[in-house]
Amino acid sequence: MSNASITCPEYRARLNTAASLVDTVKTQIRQGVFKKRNLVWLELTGCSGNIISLLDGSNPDFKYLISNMTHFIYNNSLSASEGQNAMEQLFSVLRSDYILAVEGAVATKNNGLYNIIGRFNGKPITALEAVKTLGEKAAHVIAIGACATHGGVSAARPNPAECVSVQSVLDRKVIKLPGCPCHPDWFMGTLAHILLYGEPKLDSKDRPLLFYSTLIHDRCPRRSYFDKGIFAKKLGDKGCMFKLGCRGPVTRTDCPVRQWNQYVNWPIEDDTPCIGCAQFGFPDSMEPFISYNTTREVRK
Amino acid sequence: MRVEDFSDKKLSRIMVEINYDISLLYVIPCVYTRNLILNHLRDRIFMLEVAMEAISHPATLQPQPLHLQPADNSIVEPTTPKQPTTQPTTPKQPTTQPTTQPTTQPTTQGNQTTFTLQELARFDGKDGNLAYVAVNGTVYDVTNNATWAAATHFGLTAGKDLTNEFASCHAGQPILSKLRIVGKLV
Repeated sequence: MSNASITCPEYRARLNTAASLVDTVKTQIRQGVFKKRNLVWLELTGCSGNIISLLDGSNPDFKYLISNMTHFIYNNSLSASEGQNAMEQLFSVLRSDYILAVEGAVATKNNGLYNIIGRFNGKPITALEAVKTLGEKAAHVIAIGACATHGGVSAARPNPAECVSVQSVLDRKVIKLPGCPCHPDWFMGTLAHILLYGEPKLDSKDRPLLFYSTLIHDRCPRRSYFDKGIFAKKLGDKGCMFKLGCRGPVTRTDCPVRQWNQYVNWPIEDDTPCIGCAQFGFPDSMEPFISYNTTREVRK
Repeated sequence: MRVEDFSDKKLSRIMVEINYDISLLYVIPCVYTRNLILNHLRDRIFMLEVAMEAISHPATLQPQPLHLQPADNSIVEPTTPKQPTTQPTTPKQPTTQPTTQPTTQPTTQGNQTTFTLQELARFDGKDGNLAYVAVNGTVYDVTNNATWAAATHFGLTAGKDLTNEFASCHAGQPILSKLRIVGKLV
């Protein structure tokens, strides 16, 4: 990328959407205007990928999130307490105002027995029960990552645990942040927006327009190759990876501009086609992730 | 496309958009925005080409399913992906294919190419074949349609009659008119 692109105001603004929201939160905290709210992060049937991704966030970093922006009540991977104490901490929040973040799908087979998240007073608590109880009373519910938003990898065929999305078991508005994993900025920005102004503007699938409004294809640095019909025949070629199966044309995120791992790089810049991880139906609907028989010319 | 479709007003609007794009290109430093503008520019130039063709051969041109309406889309909100105007992979039309497999070749009667399901199955986008799909009896070319990467689309593959799948996802959406029609399914 040339240095010139850094000076583009639109590019810079995009990169800073989460940062500027969070900065406003910081200012308001200093001025004493802002009141911290409780945040519960529930992990259901998934891989912990979204909390790991969040730990990599830099706008702000995770430490700021849990100490200054919110009262971070519970997360099963990071919580210091365990067993009965942890579960008491989790369910104590029901008596107060809180925002619920959920990662992972909801296992529904055998009434949710395929995923027990803990024991409360000796009784096993299923993920299904926890998300229903906490989801009903939360001020906002944010589904984070592919599994929570639409089932994702957990609900991929043959789906032995009969996993479904968070929305499927809750009769209320669920803000959806798809992605496998969710970008830390997408969550931080959405959370900061909720803290400052309430629910952000959402599209027809309840994704915040702040981050999910533009197709990857429309912002792809290789878009010109597509328009000219210059296609990569194998990984590493510099052309458009459409023939290899790139899902950029059906996936709405700001990856080309925001990039990953603290804004260092993203798949296409690294010669890998987009696999549509932020599209509903991933992974089954986005397969095959790579095809070579579409690029070879066979003499007939 | 008929000559009447290109009123002076439409043509002058296309010209204004082209000039505006060029002016923008002088000042835009960002590679992403630049690509977006170049894409827009190419689209408008293509419209001009079609207009020129319509004016010079008014009688010979058949109505085609191309979107030539100068759209209200602005540069910041690009339209849905379009087929690229160039097809450098030199796609082979069904009518010009060698007849080494006579049982699976579509037949052409007059101007109308017809496909059986078996013939359509060959156009799966693999091994140098084009990618065709059928919806409501019409066969469309999706070879270079952006949403059909690697001739697959949300778990569907090319070379099939996808009437039901289309109805369940895209009913009422003006998507088919943007695709090139290649024949009829019989």
